Amino acid sequence: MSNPMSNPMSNQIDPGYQLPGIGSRIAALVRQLFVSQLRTTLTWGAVLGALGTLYVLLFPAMNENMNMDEYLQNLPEELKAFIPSISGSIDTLPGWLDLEMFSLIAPFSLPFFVIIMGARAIAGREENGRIDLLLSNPIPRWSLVLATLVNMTLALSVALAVIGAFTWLPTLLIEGELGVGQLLNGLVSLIPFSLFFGALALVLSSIVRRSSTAIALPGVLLVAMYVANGLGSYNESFELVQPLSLFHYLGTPLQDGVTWGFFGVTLLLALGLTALAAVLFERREIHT
Amino acid sequence: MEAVIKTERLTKSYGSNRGIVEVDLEVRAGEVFGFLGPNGAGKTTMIRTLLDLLHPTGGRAYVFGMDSRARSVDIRARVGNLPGEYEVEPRMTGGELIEFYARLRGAKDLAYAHELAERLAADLHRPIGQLSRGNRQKIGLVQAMFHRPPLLILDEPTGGLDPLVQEEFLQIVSETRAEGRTVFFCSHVLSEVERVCDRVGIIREGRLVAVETTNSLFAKRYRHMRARLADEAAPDEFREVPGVMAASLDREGDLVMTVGSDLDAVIKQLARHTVVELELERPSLEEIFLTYYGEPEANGEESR
Repeated sequence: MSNPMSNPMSNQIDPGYQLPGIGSRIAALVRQLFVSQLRTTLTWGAVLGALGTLYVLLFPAMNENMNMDEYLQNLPEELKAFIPSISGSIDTLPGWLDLEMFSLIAPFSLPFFVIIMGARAIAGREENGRIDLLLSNPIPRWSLVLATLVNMTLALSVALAVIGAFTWLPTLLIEGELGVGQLLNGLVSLIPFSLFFGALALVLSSIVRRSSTAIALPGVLLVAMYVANGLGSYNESFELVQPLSLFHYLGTPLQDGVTWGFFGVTLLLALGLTALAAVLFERREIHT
Repeated sequence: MEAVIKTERLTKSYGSNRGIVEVDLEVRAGEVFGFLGPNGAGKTTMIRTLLDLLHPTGGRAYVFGMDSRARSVDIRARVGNLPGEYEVEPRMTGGELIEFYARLRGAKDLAYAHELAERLAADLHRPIGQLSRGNRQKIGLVQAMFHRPPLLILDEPTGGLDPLVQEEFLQIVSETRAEGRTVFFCSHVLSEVERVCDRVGIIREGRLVAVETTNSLFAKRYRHMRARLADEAAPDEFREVPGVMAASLDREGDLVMTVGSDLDAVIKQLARHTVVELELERPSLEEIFLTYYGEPEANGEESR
């Protein structure tokens, strides 16, 4: 490191070192965010992956002992409306996993994983007094917002990779075919879906000063979207709101592949919300 | 030379509560500037406004000639900051924190960080969450100074440090000044201000009430003196002595005096008696403020 005071008169406003480009500073932020929560990421992946393992191992018994397709088709319409993957077959392992893991458990859990990250990024740091020191460094505020989104994506990908491994490996032990490509479709389709809610939490985190609020509101929206989608399937009064629910477009990715239109639009929405969070965060004050 | 910090009628209020009010201040390059005031006077608000964590409600602030709002990132590239209270990820070690901040700043050589850690006896290997307040403060000091910033902003830097480490820290501040760098030093500990600061600004109730050299401030200092004499002394005898500002007897019959910086005459007068006990006490900073810079406002407004 050069001594900035070797020529005090000329170097008085020189920081004394070459400030790295904004990309390097964002990369440093992402690295720190990712490493600091890697244990949490792996825990989420392992817990949800364990559920995946369980459902894979349960499949042969369920399939042998009952005709699941017939069972599901005989369910009351009101109940069937809340099972988005009912349109496919669940006599196959991909259908079974679409029903249990990729329509319900993962779409409800993974958004909360990133919602918490978004809420803690600003409001959480402000609450626990950790933001002053971080923002004493030469980083624009928007870079913290962007780094949080990148970290959300990375952490989500790692968690999904763990879930994927935990779900696929036990398929080697049972009779039931699950292609790696099919499983990847299911995992990938959850990325923008979850990021949408994480980015919404980031927006709230940049406005409110309570991380609990920034967690609760996207959480409520997630549940509301699920309910709206279910109600819209059998009640005409709710047909208009059903298209507003992201669950409406999630489909059965293991059986039918990724809905790329939905993937792209949701990703764009997440990016738009992140941009909004950056603008809002730039404008507001930091209170600790 | 252009001022390192310059504020023009800088004002920050929190709704109806005042933070700082129309502060006009210049901190010169290469000086250690003490920013003094009692708790709640507005010192932290001033720092947070300079660093753009808070936005002024009036006036402007410039650091190295750059507007604090428009060029905040450029300013922070040249500043090392130790907040009055700080928190970090508790599982992170001091070493990891320094490496992280070094990556953000592009500082590749951490030799000075390790030198500082050694001199301050800072443990860079344990998680910060496991450190005592004093040891956390040492990490805070290292992270503020390791990149040799042209401007150091230190808010109550010696809180929690043991006397030996305080001494070493004040030595480092002196070296920083010798290198031509500037230090903005917030404190309410008079002794350390006297040791290292060239000039001081006094803030009370959000207003900058005085800026003067440290020598000038301490020329104003006085002491409380309590003397127990074997014989009975008349306070009037001492009121006439040069340097004695007030004299009276307390309930126990001890002679209680307020004495200026020149003690010689009063000691000689006391020597005419048999002195059984003698105590000298420095006034608190708050007491000096009240004596020299006016009574506090009575409206009970809060500050941060």
